Amino acid sequence: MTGAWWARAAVAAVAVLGVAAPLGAQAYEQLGPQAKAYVTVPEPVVALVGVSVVDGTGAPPKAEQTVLIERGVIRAVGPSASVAVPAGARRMELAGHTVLPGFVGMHDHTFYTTSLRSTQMNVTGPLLYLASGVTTIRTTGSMSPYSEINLKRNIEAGMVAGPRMHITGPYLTGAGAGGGMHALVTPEDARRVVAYWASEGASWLKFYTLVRKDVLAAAADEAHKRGLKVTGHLCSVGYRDAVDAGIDAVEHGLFANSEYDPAKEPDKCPAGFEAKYTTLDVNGPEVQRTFREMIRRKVAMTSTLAVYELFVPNRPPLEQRVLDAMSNDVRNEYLTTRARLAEPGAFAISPAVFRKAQEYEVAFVRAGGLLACGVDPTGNGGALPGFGDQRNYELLLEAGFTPVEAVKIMTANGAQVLGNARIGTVEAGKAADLQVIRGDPVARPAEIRNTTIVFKDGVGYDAPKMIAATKGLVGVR
Amino acid sequence: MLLTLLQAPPARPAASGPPPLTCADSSVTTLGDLSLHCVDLVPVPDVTTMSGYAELDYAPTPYGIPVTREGVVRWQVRMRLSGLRHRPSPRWIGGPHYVAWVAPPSMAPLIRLGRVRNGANLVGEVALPVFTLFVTEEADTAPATMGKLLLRAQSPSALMQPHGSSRLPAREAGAHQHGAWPMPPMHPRVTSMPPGLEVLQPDATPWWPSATPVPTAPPAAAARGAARARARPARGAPANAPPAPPDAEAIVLGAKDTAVLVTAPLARTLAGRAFTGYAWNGRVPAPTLRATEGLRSTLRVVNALGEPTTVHWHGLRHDWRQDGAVGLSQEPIAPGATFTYRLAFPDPGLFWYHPHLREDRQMDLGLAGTIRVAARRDDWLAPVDAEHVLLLDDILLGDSTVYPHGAERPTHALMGRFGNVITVNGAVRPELALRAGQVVRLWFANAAGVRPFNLAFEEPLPMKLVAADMGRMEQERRVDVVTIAPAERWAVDVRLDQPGRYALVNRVLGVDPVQQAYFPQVDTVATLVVSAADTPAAPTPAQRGFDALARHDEETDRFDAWRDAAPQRELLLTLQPTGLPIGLEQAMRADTQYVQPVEWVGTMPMMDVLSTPRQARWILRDVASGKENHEIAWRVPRDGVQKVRIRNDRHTLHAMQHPIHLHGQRFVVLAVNGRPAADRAWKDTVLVPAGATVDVLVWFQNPGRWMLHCHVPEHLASGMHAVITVGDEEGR
Repeated sequence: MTGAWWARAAVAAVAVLGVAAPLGAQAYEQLGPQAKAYVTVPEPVVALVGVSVVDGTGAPPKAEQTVLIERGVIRAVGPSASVAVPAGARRMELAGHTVLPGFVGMHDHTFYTTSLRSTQMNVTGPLLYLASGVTTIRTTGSMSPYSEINLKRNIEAGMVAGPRMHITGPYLTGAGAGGGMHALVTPEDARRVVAYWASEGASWLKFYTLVRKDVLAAAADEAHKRGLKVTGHLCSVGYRDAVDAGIDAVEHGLFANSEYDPAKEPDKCPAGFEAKYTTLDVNGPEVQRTFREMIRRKVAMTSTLAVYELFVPNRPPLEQRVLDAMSNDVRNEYLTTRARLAEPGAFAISPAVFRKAQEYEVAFVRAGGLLACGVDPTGNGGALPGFGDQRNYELLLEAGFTPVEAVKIMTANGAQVLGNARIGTVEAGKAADLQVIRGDPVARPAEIRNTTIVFKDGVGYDAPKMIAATKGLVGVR
Repeated sequence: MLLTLLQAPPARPAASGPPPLTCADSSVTTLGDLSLHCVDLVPVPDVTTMSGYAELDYAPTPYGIPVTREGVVRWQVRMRLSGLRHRPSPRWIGGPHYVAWVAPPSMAPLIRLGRVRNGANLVGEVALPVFTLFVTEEADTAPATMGKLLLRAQSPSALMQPHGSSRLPAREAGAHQHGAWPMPPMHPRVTSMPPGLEVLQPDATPWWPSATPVPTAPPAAAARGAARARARPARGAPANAPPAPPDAEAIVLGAKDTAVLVTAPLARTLAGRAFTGYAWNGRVPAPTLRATEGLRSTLRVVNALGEPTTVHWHGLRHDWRQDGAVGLSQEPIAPGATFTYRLAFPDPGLFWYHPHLREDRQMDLGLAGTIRVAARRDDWLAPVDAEHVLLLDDILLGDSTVYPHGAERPTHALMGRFGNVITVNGAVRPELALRAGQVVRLWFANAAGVRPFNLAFEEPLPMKLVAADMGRMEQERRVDVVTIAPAERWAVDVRLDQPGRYALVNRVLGVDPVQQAYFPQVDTVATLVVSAADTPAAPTPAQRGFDALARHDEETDRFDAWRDAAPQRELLLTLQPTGLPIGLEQAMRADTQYVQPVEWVGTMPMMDVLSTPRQARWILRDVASGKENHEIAWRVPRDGVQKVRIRNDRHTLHAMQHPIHLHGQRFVVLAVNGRPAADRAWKDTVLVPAGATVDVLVWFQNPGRWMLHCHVPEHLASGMHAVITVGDEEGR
């Protein structure tokens, strides 16, 4: 009997670990040549000395710190005066640099769209994410799910440099949708399809705007039985109904919550609802009721301000590095769309609605909600993998979060949503997923872009080198 | 060095040996656009040696596109596989076996396609709008459920992007701030549209025809007009009314008589909406012209419209100066003027006539009629007991009247103008009276500007395909649908065994552009009302012969040698946007991720109406010379035979099908996407689906200067036409 109990426990432990921590530490030696080419810190023991640390826990920034990495794990973090650097360690003097946890990108697709194209980014995506400090992504909907599964395999096998991946399979939605969106009409469809994508290795499922509440509930139930979680870019189901159906997270904040539209009918997606939200009271009883129900059922929200900003006329900053990364055609497509946003007939979001969405996210966190963050590299193509994650940092500050809060939203909160206790903060015992930034993004937020080295599992990757390798390729490969 | 490394596909862990087999491989045989006709089979993560791809080609069909009765494209799937290994296993005797499957995204039903092996496999036909192909490892050859997954691939249609992927919801239709143009009628299934479009207006003035006919010259004065001379009203002609046309459903043409067609406005009511249309001899459709093979006849056309017009005799291999092609074979017939055509009817079958000027509104408003040329030989086709001509059309009607056309230039330049009311012989859902026991021959012609039809009887009736545009099917065959592109003609023999009402139904798939979802569009277009036979009679010769599938020598087999030859000419069909409104362009771009081979239904009325030829230039490009549209001036020796390859560029802002029509000559379709065509007949119009490559073999027998063009009126107006001179300049 005892033996059988042990066996069952061991199986369960493996299963839990399998979901929570898809990878053990990936040492430099285990990497293939393509990944090794980007490594600048291969040593197993590394000390980052003299850095400022924003650790992701919500604690205030600490100056003059040393972060000691040993075989993929953070061994110690503390004042440089008190952390001993062992003999044989690579000691990196990094005064004037800031160390943050690696970003946990919670809406970080491996495909990219402009207004003209959709490209699976098996080459540029992983490099740009990692180079921008994003060490973990949840893909949150795939247009090429099989290709994405193999990208994850190649990263885990060390063949490709890239972030840890939590894959979601294709977009799932309700009747009336098509193409890459898998339309699930009945609860049985939901259970069958969840089972299939679980067998393919998805750890989350992503629902889209037309799903019906009973189908969402069946999918959540089937997913939970199999140790998977469910999120959604919703519309036909409002957030409170989605919470009731058992969803684990909701994407895009206010932009995807139709329940404040007086015209909302059950299981119907009202067109243009968010345009009505300019006067929504985010501290009023209705919104607060949504937040209470989400918080009670531990349902997280994902902020994706960078992709929505692209549709606000005269808003998105024109960044040379973004243009450099794009292929010529993509650059033209993006610049044309961007320049013409204010013309009559263009798809656009009013500044008032964008501002309201920012207020909504702040109010959610103030109410005690768990907010995470991701780039969503779609829309008209201006929010690139990684670069857009970094832009999110500025947009969260603009929303009203403090730098420390914004870092926590982008790191530890994502780890908490994923249920991965090994990542998300700069603390002893955690996986060494870190980013080294030249400058001080707390004092000067734009410096969030100055990523120099990104550690994943304690292996330090050369950020500028990875960015250089993507030059002119975004939208192509 | 770094870049070189990057550009190589990611290495497979523990893989050695040949590179994985993908659609980039030289063994791919389809000539269709790879993004629509080939998908890589992606191995599951723990499979490192196996790879392959699936080619998707059109299943054999006599038509421009193979579809089921439900309107779903039938794909013939070929897989090329590599690395499947025979591993001896005690579990499997003689195994493992490798099996291909297909399922829609909901994973039900799961359909077993059959066993596959390394190398090329023809795995069978798939007719699902969106699907996933699987290859599994199995212990036996006919498993009921999938074993271990090895390879899988999504259909190209899985790349469709809803307009919502711009992360902006669509706007409800109705809240528009339109100016002079009324809101176009929405498709009932699609009630929203991309935001922003409601503030846009086409770059043209809305136009409705005048209800008053213009005075016309006395017929005698104008009838003398020489072929190429400008037709104009006789100077000083009295302001008289147009001559009263003979009111007849059909005009029998003779060698000595001159028939008259009076082109004039006509007050019509259709589907409850009253409007002014155009008509020949006060009829919609125009009178059927009846001729006998070999006849030469004259026909006087009187123009009482307030705008110039001509008549093109579609499919006639006659004198090029009588062809009605404005700017090429004649000047327009001015308002009030008359033009006399000298026609010849060298081929039996069904032909049709329509204006060749502002077809977008003149044809749309009612100017279309059929020409039925009887064969000299009784046995040209098998005998039938009855015969009907069905002229298919559609028209765009608003709430109270016809939706306006552009005054200065056509609207709907990108998409063509889909109507929202389907007509057969000018009527909505007409009934055709027939008798049980008969075999009826139905001749179909499609006069719609852009709408292809996929017709079938609700309750299937035995049906065989006997004739095409310009002649008999070389090999008759049983069919369950008639799929007909604009300007095409097909004839089917239908056996009516039992009395009853037989609905003729157009079944196609529409696409909701906002969600990119397919939906079935089902319209009854006509009904055969079959009454009981008076007395039980002995089977007619038609009934007795119905089961025979005749083979006719149409001399096309002499062209077999061309099948594998390189084409002499290659045309690319493409599009150059020239200043579309940004909102329209954004919405169009969302549709470029995947393109339907054929658009069957107009579901984007607001997007459709907005473009004019000023903002979109459709292009026929001669690949060898780079010349485009009117710059193309091919010269072909008389009696020359040329293989012309027509490739429909899928990578444009709006790829769609084009029915390509060649005036005055005949051709056979040799191959589609590199696969030999299953059926052959002489044709003058071929449907080229988006992303497809069609090889036609043209026999340039008829001298003169001829037009080759897309038959979608708005595409023609936006540039899509070229000129071919056969023989010398004077057409000898």
